[in-house]
Amino acid sequence: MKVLFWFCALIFLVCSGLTPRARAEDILQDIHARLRLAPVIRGEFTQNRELARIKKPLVAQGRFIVARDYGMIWETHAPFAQSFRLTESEMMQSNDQGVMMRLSAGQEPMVRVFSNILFAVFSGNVAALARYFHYSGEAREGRWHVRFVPKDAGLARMLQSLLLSGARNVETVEMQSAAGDTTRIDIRAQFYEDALSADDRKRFDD
Amino acid sequence: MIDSEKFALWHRRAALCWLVFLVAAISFLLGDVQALKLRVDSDLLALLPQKEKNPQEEAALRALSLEGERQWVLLVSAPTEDAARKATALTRKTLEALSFFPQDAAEHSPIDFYAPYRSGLLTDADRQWLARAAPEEPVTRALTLAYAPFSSSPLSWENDPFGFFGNWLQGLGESSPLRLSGGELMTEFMGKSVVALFYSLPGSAFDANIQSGVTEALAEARDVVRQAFPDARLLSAGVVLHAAAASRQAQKEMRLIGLGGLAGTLLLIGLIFQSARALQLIVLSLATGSVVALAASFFLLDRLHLLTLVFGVSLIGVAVDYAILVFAQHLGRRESLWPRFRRILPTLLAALTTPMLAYLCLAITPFPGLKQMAVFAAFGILGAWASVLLFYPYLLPEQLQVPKSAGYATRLLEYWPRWRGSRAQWILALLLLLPVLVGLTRLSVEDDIRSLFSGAARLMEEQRQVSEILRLSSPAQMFIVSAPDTETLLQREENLTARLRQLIAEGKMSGFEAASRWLPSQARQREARALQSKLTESRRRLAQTLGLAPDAPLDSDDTHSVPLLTPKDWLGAPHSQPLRFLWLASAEENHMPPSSLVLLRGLTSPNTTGLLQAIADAREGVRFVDKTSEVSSLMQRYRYLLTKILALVCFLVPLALALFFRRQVWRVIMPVFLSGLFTLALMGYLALPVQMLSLLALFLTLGMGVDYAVFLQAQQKEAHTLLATTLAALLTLLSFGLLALSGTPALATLGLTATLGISFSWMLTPCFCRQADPVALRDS
Repeated sequence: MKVLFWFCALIFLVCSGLTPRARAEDILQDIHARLRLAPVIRGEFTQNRELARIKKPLVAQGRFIVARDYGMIWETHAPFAQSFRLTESEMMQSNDQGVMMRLSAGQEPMVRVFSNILFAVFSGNVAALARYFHYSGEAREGRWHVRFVPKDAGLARMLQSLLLSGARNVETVEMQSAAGDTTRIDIRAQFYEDALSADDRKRFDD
Repeated sequence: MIDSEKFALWHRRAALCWLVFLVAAISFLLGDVQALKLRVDSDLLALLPQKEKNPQEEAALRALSLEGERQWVLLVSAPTEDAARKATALTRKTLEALSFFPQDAAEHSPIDFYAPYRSGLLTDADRQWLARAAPEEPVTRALTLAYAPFSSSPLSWENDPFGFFGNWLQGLGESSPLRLSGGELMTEFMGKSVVALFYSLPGSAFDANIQSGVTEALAEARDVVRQAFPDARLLSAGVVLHAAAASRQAQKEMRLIGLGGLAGTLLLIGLIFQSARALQLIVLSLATGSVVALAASFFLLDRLHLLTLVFGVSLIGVAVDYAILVFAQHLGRRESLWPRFRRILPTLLAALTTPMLAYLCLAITPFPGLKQMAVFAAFGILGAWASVLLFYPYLLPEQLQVPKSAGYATRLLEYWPRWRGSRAQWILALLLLLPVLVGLTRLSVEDDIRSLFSGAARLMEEQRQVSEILRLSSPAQMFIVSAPDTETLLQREENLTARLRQLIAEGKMSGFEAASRWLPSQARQREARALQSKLTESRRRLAQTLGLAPDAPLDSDDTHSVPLLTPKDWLGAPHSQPLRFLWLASAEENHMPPSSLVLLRGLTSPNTTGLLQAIADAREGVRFVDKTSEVSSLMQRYRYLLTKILALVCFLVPLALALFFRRQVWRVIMPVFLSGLFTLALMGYLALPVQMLSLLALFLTLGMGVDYAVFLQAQQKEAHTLLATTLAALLTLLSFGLLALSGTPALATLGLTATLGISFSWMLTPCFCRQADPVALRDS
């Protein structure tokens, strides 16, 4: 009897394993429909990094802008001022001493992949993530969470998994690197705008 | 009379021997047709000279061409990634149906392989940064990275706190733009998504079956994709495509020149001599010529290039000359056969000598292609000539009717302008000299090999685009580095590539590929470790700041106890597989010093090659190989040499001919010289540059021009001979004229120059004939 029970459970597991694709697709569409999209989104964040073997969590705070047709800028204010700018074709990291890293999609095609993923995450365009990830999740009473796992071995070497959750907005993003570091980003106070101000536009230019 | 009988006996024996030889040649050719077919080549590189003196260089180039020969690549590009993927899926499906399966797109990530050696791996930029960093800076750098939201290192922060290893890996990424994404190797180019599919051939790129398989499959895929995805594009490159295009073109031209030449010859001979037997005899002489040419070429040469065969069929027009000469002599004669045949023997011999000498000039050049053509042509002509000499006396019809056209020839000759040396003619000649001189001053020279073997323009353009997208290195320009041991080799490479990086920064080239990028020398690794050991204090402070246990230091020193990365380790790693051809391991097996290739990419200006040569000259064990300019400078050297030989011939031939013609020698020489000058002048006006090959063509026309003049001058009955030379010149013109239409510039140059030269020779020769009373043919 007990054997039969386990057998049924196994069948159930296998069957459920076979079907999640259809259900998951629904969930992504479902979430996508709930999220608010706007040409320009601004917000504040708190970033919590847990590095392997280092017990003390590294907490940083800052602001971000995500602008359709431009890209995104990620500015940390405390404890170190630094900024991370991502456009469709370039990735740039700088601090008050100057540019620390600058990589173009021409040099490194993976820049385009990262740019697509991060832009999709922070602009709330989660449906675009289906191209790069397998996913599964749940949506209930206005809240949802989805776990993404890269389809490609190449991407998986950088990012083991991506966890998103929220309601009308993406509220938390948790990135787990293959090497064991975890970054959790909580997003607060989002503002939606129709266009980028001239000053902000300049920051995407140089 | 006794003499004649003796001659006839000897002649019969020789004819029998020739028959036996021909049977042997035919059975040699038919013995293993398939094996001989495989020795027919369409590889253009096989026509270019090899450097015998440098086995190492040859080994390197061979390794490189083997690496490339069996591969062909297909790029699918589309405006969006989705479209590119869908078009790729369709391409895969179409080609799989034709049993072409792409190589597995699995990527051997080098990360795990290199991670243990990371203390010895530093980019140039990080090395410089570390060397002059203030004590505070490394700590700030590490903390910034720790707090950064995204990391570009595949290792955890504690294992790569300063991001050095991440940067070093990024440097490897320069070598290819392709990244595995969604099961496909993809990249971006000019805003388009591109997927690369790599196919390997089941056999040689020069196998005709494989060539047609690949071309048909590619055409099918292009068709299907164009219909389904109008904005997607397929780009393809590979040796096999060029080889297929070259052999397709060569076969087409062989048919055109061969059938055109043959049809023209038979038509003209049939019209003029109006004898079925004459046609049979022409076919016999051409057939024996082909048999002898093929048998001798396959016997003497390892491989026979298709272009040699194309050139070979254009010799139809030359090979029929002997038959025509004999026919012309035979016209309307009632004299018995042998005395008549003995009389034209010297002329026949003389007529063989000049073309043979001309082909000898082809053979002295170090170009295997020209040597092949010389062998093929010399034996083909010898074969046709021998049949005329040995078989014709037994097969000639009793009598050849004097054709009506001979009467036209007689009349034509009467009205032909003759040089009498009158004042009016001198004035006319001087007036004519002016435009000739102007034409000569307009002559330019050309030694660039690329102007001779251009390849199909569309294929070349696609190849260029594919190379640009995939960042492929040039197969023609590279450095070969060698050293007594592998460590010195890598150090020499590093010294060289440091200089190349400067050139890249100056925009003079776009990149390079070298083993030392993937395998730093031990010295470089030790230097990196020494620099990193300066960071011990920074690591300690970081551990303190972040609250790490003091007994478990950051990026613990155990990576320093790992042995240094060695060539053996690297060559054993799966990711080095596609790069191993850079490392000339075969050199070690052959007890040669270890050596390696440094390949170059995107040289922007031809001036850079001089700079690269200087860079190589200034370094021990570094050689710059520039196949293109090497061959071009060889062509230049031979152009000079041929000019000298031509000048010498212009001096010696009149001397030799003076023995026969005494004071009349100018009548033989003038038409030949003038036609050479006119040809060159016309080339000046037509902006056709003088090349090594056009000089060789001038040699050929010189030979034939002298023949015409000798025939006309030596024979009393001008009209007969004019008929023969006119016919011979017409048929030669037809063949070379058809050759001038060839899509291979080298053959077209040869054909065009010969066409011009022969036309002038034929027109000028009668002008300088003695004004003998033309004997009407009826009277003879």
